[in-house]
Amino acid sequence: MTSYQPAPDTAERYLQGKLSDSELAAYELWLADHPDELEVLELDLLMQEGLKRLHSNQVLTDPAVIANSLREKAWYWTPPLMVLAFLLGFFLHQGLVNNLEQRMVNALYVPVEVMRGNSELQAEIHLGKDDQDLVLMIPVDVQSSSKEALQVKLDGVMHSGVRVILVHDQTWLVLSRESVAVGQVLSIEQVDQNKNVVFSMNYLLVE
Amino acid sequence: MAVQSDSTQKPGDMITRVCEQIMAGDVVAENQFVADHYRWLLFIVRQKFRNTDLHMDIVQDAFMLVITKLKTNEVKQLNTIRAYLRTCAINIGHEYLRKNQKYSSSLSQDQLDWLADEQTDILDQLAWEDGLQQVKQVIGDLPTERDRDILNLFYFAHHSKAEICEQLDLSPAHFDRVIYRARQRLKELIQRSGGSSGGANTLNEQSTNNKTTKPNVLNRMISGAHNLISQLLRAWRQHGRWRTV
Repeated sequence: MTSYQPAPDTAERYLQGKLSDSELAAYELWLADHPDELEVLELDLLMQEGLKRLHSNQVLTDPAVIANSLREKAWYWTPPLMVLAFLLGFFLHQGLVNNLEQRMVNALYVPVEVMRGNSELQAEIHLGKDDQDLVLMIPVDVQSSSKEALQVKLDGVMHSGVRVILVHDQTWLVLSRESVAVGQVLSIEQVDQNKNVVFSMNYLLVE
Repeated sequence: MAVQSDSTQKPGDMITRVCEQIMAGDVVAENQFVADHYRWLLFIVRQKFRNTDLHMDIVQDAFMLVITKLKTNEVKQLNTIRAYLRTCAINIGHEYLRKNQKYSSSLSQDQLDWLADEQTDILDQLAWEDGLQQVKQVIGDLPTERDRDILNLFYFAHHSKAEICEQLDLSPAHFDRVIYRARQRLKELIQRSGGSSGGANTLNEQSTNNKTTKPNVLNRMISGAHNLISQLLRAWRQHGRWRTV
């Protein structure tokens, strides 16, 4: 139709959107009569759009890409994050320590006399105030033994919220006041590695 | 009236002749005009309006507009009909984007049956989507990391051939070879997955075959359903409400 002939790099510049409006119009009209060139450009366009989609999917799903992105931005977010973590750790630690210290000062300490074998005898433990934790002082260092362990049950059900503190050759079991109630039977059991009960002591919790 | 084709005629003369036949009310010539330019115009629209999926609609509206103008003798210079068709498509595309809605054509659906009958839009769309998926395999099949780098730099990062050759210490011939093989691989995958359906239509057959191949009954049914939906949507756009018969 016209005598227009594209330069060797026209297709490349076309794909990159670098042609002027007049060049663009002339080239696109030229393509109408050159289906082979059009096919090459169709494939190129597919490649461009396909890769764009591939990369956008990678950004969303590929852990390596996410990790790379985070690494590239590490200089930006690491210092404030470290300061934040330090402050958070500091205040959390202070809070926990203060809280723990305060609770331990107020706690009700009960020395436990260990009797080997299963004790049918139920002694009574008088629970204190509502904010007073219960500390059971057991004169055995079972925690240093890999073969034996202590476990606490309330009404026959394993109590998992027990903090264990080792004091010299004693083991202190700390039960928060909220986790126990008047009328419950507290069992302290020592078990060996075969889960056999070495000794068991039962206490009735009273007001 | 049949479209007269003569291999000795120049392309410009052929188009002018087809346009004259459209102006004379020849429906076959309308089909010919669409078949001759559909793939070309769809490519231009896809290239220009990449962030929309309304390419088929833009192309169809452009054809509708131009053929109607031809039939009402509003086109004076037939030798520039392609430029006019291209400009119409671009303007309609901008209109779509500006309004963020379909271009509202005042054309009657009755005039446009040839588009619905002859173009398997949904197959073209499927072929295009399929092609986009195949790119992943093409990239994965490349033998070396450097080949992947070449394709990524060229097609994704939009670096020039000269820049890539310098950056990766390549000869231009090596660059051309990698790009050529990738294109061929993509074409092969599309043809293999599409068989004689839309994939091949998009890339090869449509330019040489005036009639679009209908691959099988299922595709024909899909195409029919798509056409029906398209017609309903056009009726909705034209009349602003559903017409009850």
